[in-house]
Order: sequence, then C-alpha cells, then structure tokens
Amino acid sequence: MAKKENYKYEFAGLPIYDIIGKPLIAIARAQNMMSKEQLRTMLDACFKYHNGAYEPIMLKMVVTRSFLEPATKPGKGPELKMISTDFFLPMITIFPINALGIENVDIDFNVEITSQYMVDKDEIDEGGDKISAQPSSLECLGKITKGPGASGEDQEQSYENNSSFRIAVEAGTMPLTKGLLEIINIYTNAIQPIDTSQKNHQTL
Amino acid sequence: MTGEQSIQCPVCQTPILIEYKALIQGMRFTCGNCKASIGIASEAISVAKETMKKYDELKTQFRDGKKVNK
Repeated sequence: MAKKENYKYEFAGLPIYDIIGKPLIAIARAQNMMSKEQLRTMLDACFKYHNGAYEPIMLKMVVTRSFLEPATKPGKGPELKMISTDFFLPMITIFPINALGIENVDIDFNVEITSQYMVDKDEIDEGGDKISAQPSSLECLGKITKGPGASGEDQEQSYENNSSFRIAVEAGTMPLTKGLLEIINIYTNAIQPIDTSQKNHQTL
Repeated sequence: MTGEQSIQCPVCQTPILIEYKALIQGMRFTCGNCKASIGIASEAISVAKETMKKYDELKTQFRDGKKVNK
C-alpha cells in the first residue's frame, strides 16, 4: 500500500495586479455574456434570418381618422367620414427593449504582502551585453486575507485557513447602444402611409 | 419598466404614447393632436401575440440563467 504523504507547502502568493485584475476581468466577461444574450433575445424575437441577413418582423398597423366631406348636393351639409390608412412598424420599435448592464461593482478584500522583489528590466542582447538600462521595478506577491473585521489573534489564524473576497455587483438598465437606436430611428422615420387600394404590398 | 413606448403619429408626427401589451391585445391609441387612432391591424394581432410570447419566454430564460438553444 502506497504511503500517503501530506504535502504541505507554503503558498507564496500571487502578483498584486493579478489579485486586483482577475475580478475585474471576470466582471467584464459577465457583462459580455449578458450583452450577447440580450442581443440574441432581440434578434430571435424581432428579426427573421433570411438569405444571410436579418430582416425585421414588420407589424401591420392601421391609423383611422375622421374627416368632413364637403356637401356634394345642394341642400345637404358636409358628411363626417372615416378614413383608414395602413402602415408598417418593425416589431423592435414596439417592444420596450432595455439594455441590462453592470452599473456598479464593489470589490472588498485585504491583501497580505507575502514577498517583494525587484524586477530588472534591462534589455540584454544575445552576447550578454546590455542594450538599454531601465529602472528596476518593485513587484509584490500577496495573499487575500480575511475581511477587514478580523483583528488580533483571530486575524493571524485567518491568514492560515481563510481568505475573504467580497464582490457586490449591481445591475441596472443602461442606455441603448447607438447602433440599436439608429436601427429604431431609421424604421421610425420610414413610417409612410400606404394606399390600401394597392393590394400588391406584403402584409403580415 | 412600464411598457410605455411612443411612436410618431403617421398623420401629424406627434408622439403617441402606447402601451405595447395593450396594443398587442388589440387596443387602439389616439393621437392627442389630430385625434387619429392607431392600432394593430386585426390580421396582424396573432403575429404580434406570438412574437410577444416568444420574447417573454426568452426574457424568462435569460433571467433564470437557462441556456437558450438555437
């Protein structure tokens, strides 16, 4: 029977920029996923994919108004008549589409600096000669420790066993993208009355 | 979200506030300026309802975090 060994090693820590950057990258990815999902929802509901292009689903609308027809025969007054006009609206201009996005992010953690070292940034050619000398920079490795509430002996204990990383994300509605607003604007401006006596136009 | 949108009156270009759920049910909305009333054509109501249902389903799937298969 193989002897089980308990490997216990001291975790040296991660570069500080990794500790700070990773949650921000995760949030950016989450935002990206949300945007993709919303775009797909919009395309599925309001557009038809046809011959390699998305065509908006158009909705036939009717506008009705009354008008006074002048008297045609002497002795009779003007006659109130109704007139109906058809027009088409893209479905996307009717649904209240809101862009959901991450509005506020609150990241809270304590970092214990475990080690520091200087990084030499001198560029050296193949022969070993210095090409350029640049100032060295200080790099730090750190570990996330328990939250700011810990103190004294408890805190020391927490360094070994616990780490705490609190991220509060608030999502909210964002302004629609310029492209989507432009699509809606183009179709809104293209609303034109259609003569219903011409039956050759396509209707839904 | 109130579901209120506005569209331009095809007659006088005045914005007409519409409530899309009511519109899809067949309700008509009147322009405050020229009194023209607009609504979905009766033959298009079924298409609008179907799209609305699909849109709501997709929103529910998105909210619940379910994968939307295409």
